[in-house]
Amino acid sequence: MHRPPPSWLGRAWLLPAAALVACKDAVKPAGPIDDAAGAPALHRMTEVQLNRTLDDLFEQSVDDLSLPPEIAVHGFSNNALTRDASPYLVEVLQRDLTELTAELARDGGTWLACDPGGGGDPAGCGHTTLARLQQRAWRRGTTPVEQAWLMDLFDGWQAEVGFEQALQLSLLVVLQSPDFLYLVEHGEAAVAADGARSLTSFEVATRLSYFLWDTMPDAELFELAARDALQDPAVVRQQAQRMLLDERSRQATNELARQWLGYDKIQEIDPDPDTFFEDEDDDDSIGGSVAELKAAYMAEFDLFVRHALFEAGTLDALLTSRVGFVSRETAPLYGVSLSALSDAPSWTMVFPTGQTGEYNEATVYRVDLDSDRRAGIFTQGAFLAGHAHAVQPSPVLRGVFLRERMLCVDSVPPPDDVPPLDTEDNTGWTTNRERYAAHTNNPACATCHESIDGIGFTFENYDALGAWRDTDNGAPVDATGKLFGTDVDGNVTDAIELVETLAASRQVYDCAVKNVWRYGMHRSETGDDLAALHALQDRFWASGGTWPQLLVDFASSRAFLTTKAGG
Amino acid sequence: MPLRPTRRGFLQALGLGAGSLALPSLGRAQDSGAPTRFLLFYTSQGCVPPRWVCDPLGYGEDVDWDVDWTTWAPEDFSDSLRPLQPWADQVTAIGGLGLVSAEADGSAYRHERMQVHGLSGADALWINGFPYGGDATIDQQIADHLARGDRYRSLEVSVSRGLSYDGFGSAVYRGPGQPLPVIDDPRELWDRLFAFQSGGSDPVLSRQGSVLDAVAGRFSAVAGGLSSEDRRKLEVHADLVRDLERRIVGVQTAACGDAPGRPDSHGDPDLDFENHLGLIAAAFSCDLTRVASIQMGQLTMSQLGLGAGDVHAEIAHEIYSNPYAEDGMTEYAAVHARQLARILEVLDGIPEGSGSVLDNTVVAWLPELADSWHGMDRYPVVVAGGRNTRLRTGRYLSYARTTPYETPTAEGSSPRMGVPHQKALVGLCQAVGLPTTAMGVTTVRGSDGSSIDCTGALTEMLT
Repeated sequence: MHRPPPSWLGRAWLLPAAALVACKDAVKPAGPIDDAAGAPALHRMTEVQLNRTLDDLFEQSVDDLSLPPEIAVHGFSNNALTRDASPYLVEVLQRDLTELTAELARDGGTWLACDPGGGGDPAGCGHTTLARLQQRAWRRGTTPVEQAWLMDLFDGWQAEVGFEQALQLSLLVVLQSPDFLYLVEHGEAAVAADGARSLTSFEVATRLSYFLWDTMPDAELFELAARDALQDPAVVRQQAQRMLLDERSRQATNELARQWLGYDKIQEIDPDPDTFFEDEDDDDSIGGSVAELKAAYMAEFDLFVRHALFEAGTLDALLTSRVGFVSRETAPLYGVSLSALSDAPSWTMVFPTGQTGEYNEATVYRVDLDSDRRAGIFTQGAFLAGHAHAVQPSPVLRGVFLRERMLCVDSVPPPDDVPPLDTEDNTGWTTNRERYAAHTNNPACATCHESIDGIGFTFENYDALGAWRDTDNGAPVDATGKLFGTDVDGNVTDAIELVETLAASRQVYDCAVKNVWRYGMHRSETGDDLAALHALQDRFWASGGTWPQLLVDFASSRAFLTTKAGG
Repeated sequence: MPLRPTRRGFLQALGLGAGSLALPSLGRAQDSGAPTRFLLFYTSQGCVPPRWVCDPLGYGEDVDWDVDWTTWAPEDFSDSLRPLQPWADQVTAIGGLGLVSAEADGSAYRHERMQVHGLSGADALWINGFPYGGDATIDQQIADHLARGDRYRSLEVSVSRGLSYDGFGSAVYRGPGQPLPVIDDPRELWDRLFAFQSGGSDPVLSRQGSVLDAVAGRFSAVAGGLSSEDRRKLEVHADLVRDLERRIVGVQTAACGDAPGRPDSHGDPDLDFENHLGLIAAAFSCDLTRVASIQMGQLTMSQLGLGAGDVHAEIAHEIYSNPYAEDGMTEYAAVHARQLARILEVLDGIPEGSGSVLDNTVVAWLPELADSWHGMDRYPVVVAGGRNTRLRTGRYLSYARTTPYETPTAEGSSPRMGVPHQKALVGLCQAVGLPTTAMGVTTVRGSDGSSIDCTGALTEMLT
């Protein structure tokens, strides 16, 4: 295991209290959304959730576990569909938790009721510690039988191998149990007419904290759950609002946004050295430049999402805000002078490189970008460079991504009988756009590519690294496009007009809600979800696309607070 | 006579610049009763059929043929397969298969459909319009029979992050909709195999069995009242906990001697391939596992000796219309053929019984696509090794288009495809001793309304 450096160095994030006014019911809701959801999917903690939970459970920053990668569905790697346990997963949990619990049992901490050696009453200390830990780890009141079972295991091991090892072995039992690893929901006994049952208060606390915080409930949620106070949607709503004031909610939304908006693509970029780094002569130097670029774009992604969805607090800001977060390396790509950075607020962040145990650092500065050239997340590097090939950007990848993730139109992949591009005619084109336009000129491809390229071509002003360009291969860039098959169809002059048009689209707002739903429910929506989903979409549109309110509305909806498990 | 690297040559190769490579120490494998093993070598894209087919005798594509290719000269081999010439007696190439069931399974998503069908023979599991794996892939079906319950059931590794399309994933499936995670970093594979601590006199490690026993009991305790799908998920996990309990005991008894050195890098495709291969060979030789798969990610233009650009976007689809693309994708297959030769060299370099580990290991090279134009006919398969199994090597097999299923071709379309590829998958299963008679799809309704039989083995690939 490797301890990653803290993700947030430098200045603390300023909690934008003003933005939270937005979620204090600026638009007075008509009461909780009272439609139930379809059948739930049993959720196993993600790697992020597991690591944050271990920190909270042991009241200290512990070494991160590195779990096998998950297979994404609609971009979401928390989708239960493809998350069956694998041999390697079970092995990694056993191996890394053994290492972690050895350190914990040896070093102790506030979670341990005595000195690491066991103090004057090791048995008493073990029982006190484990009783509390078992309840917090399993996120519920444990039964006398469950408690006695764990104490018996501890006592037996203590007699054999002593306090410290017995404690470690007992922790391993608690942490490898499904009660810890899965968000198990049985619900209350009473069944409503629509087949739904209320979650227990402890289950509500758990759902809330993993949705809004990506970690276990805190003391206040546990206390409310112990009093069974979380059956009241008004109390849940208050709690959700409280939770959104906490830094953990930013981290959780960052995680959602990373999956929704294709953050992982930036890790895969492989720009052509001859095109973009001709001044650098050796592979190490080029590799370093690419790594700096990736880290800067990743830092910008997270900081911009926080700015847009919490500070500004709206979907509109996500799509159109002119705020940017640039590094010394990316400033020239955005046309920002280095002198503009000297007085700008800055953040230093650290990211895994994708190589085990290796990290890159980026310092980015908050600046206002040229409003004629940049607007929102899709005119920033993470998206633009993440949807490009080595030399030229890909209008197809860019267009398909926006249609899927912003308009919720599942792309239809190329049909079976696509004729090959006639390369004999390739001499006829000059620009990247003209080359791709060959698709649209071919009748077999035209229908789909009209809608894909109509979006993708508007980004032709941004090269494969995301830098602005007025010309491509010596010819002027044509960035005109067309929205087709949407609720805001029509011609647009460039990417700025495109994103501003999308920011006024009901379809885009509904799609954002659908993505939050998929993420929060750990599954794709079904027909049984549509009533609740539509109610949530109505509410989001009526709120003007206020992000914190969407999270609160969802978290306090009946769909979120009930289950149809069983049968 | 085919030239095969000698054992001495192999040792010399090890001595030259092998310092950072993870290769097994030699002479470790068991003397008798050696286990049968299976290695899947899975590569992205497909071939350029005219440059893959070897036909020095001029039989053509309209008849079936089955010839001994061990006496051929290098120039008799195609550009794609020539690197295998020194190993011809240990290799059989199979031309003229068709991914008939993939052609019949929905429309669009040709890459993904061919991935699913190529590896499992089964129809896709279509979810939200996307084709996920509809059944266990061949390596996993074979692991059901070959794997020791007390060792690693199978190893899944990738180079350049493999090739599955929906996110960062895997083409290897344990069952319907159950992709298996893949290790891309050879250092992580080393940690999995050789940093695994268990048992001994350590008070904690020696009690992992009791810990897991207690844990396994919790799964049934929480499952009550949940849906059948959620209970299934918990049962899968509980079974794996039980397996780990057995493995913790079983791995201690593996006679692996000195572990190979831990690789010291990740990210260079050629070095990652070497290191993964060395670690798999080590795990085979001391029976830590009997089944492994290597998923090769897309090669880059520079690996093909070409200029800037993206293989998939710029040349893969143009093999029939652009000589530059045709040459590039021919070299693409040749790169993998050289890697396959290297796999054979490494496995053959480890003595086992009176022969080598290769004699007890069936290696199958299955590509993602038939041709990289997205064609589903002319699916090229290469099988190798397994002298002590039923695999018949030293042959070049070719099958005519006799299956009445229409398929798009560069010229328009063909009314018939080659032999259903399931028969090769079944043949592989039978080669390693499984009683398998069908893999996934058993019949497809032909374009002419007839019933196409996809069951049974290609008998020409078996002794």
